[in-house]
Amino acid sequence: MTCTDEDLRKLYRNAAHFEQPSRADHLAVRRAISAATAVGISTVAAGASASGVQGLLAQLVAVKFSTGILIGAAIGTTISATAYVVESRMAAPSVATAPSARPGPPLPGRRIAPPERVKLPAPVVAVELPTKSVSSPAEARAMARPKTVATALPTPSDADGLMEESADLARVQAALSQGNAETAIALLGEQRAKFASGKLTEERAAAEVIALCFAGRYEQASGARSRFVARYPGSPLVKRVNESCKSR
Amino acid sequence: MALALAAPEPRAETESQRQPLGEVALDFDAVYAEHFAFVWRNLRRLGVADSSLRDAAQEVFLVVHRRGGNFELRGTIRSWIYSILRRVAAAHHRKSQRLMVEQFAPLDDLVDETMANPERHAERGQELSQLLALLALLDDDKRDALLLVDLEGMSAPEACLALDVNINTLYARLRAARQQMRRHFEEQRASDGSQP
Repeated sequence: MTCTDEDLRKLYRNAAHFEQPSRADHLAVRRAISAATAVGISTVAAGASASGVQGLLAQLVAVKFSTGILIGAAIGTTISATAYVVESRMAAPSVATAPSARPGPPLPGRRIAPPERVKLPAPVVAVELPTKSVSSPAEARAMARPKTVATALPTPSDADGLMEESADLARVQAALSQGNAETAIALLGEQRAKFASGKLTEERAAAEVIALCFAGRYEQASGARSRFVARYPGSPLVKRVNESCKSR
Repeated sequence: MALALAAPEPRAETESQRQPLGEVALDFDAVYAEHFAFVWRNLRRLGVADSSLRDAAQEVFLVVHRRGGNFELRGTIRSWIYSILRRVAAAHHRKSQRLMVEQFAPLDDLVDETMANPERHAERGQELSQLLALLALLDDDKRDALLLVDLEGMSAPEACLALDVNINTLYARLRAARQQMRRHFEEQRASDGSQP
């Protein structure tokens, strides 16, 4: 049967119903951007020697969504408006884009008055971020965790629970497969609380080691690996876990 | 979303889409509000996985945010944003392919992937899955042309600016893309029809 332009148009039209981001997506990304810019997380200039628009377009950004959103969750309730902190482009060093690059503490930023024609969320206030709360992604995650864990989830039946637990772990796996280690770590943090007495604790623990390795958080990975091996010495996943940071 | 195939029709454009060449003042919140959905759907059409869409969208808008203030714009804001998002999408592809090969393939059996798939496909809708599958079969340059003109309804000159190609090249890619889409669509339909 011949495919006509009308067939394609119909397909595009029908697919469009499922293409729009949700309100939650819209807000979550916006919040992550606010958090990332408020704490002065540097973006990465890859081959940024070119100037103007072309130079800008050559830049790839290595700020992980999950880091931003978690920091945002940690400080979100205390910041009513976004502090507009712009790193000094003259002084800012480039940060490596390699997977081993870890989001560090807030880079020294220069708090400047925004350009007149740039609209900012009002009122703009200078917020002294609690240094301790955002000094590392781990701490930010620890602070954020209580906010990201549903406290009144219904207790699922065993069968449903295992299915749900498996589906959630698949999301972790998908994030890892896409290289979003911080997202995977955040998901694992949520799931650890959500499935405190779950059936896939061992698999989650293995995935956590691998995710931490990929995120470049080698010390945490090492600790998690030791705990895993001690707790599950006979696990078939021990070999994978032990090899997880081998590319370091 | 504008849908134009053979003869793109004039369509209502918002202020930023009519933005003339030259210096612009970037109002980040306004740009974000107006273009977030554009970024989202096109990242997905370019093959960014659902699980990475938030990351990728954030990366796109962080580049936009860094621009700030006034700057010289070669095209429209939308065409500029598209040129950013296709680079971000390409970077995600490279990263995911490298990781799958080097590190995470051994994780595949941690969970039976099929347990999660039905839910994801239900959320997407069959038509979107079909569209994404067809788009994935196109060459990159042809896919860009098809996305901008046929799915986003961009004018040819605006699409040329987004893709940094001349108008003849754009039309050649567009023709080839439509031809490929029709062929793959027919093959897909024939394949579906032969299923029991």
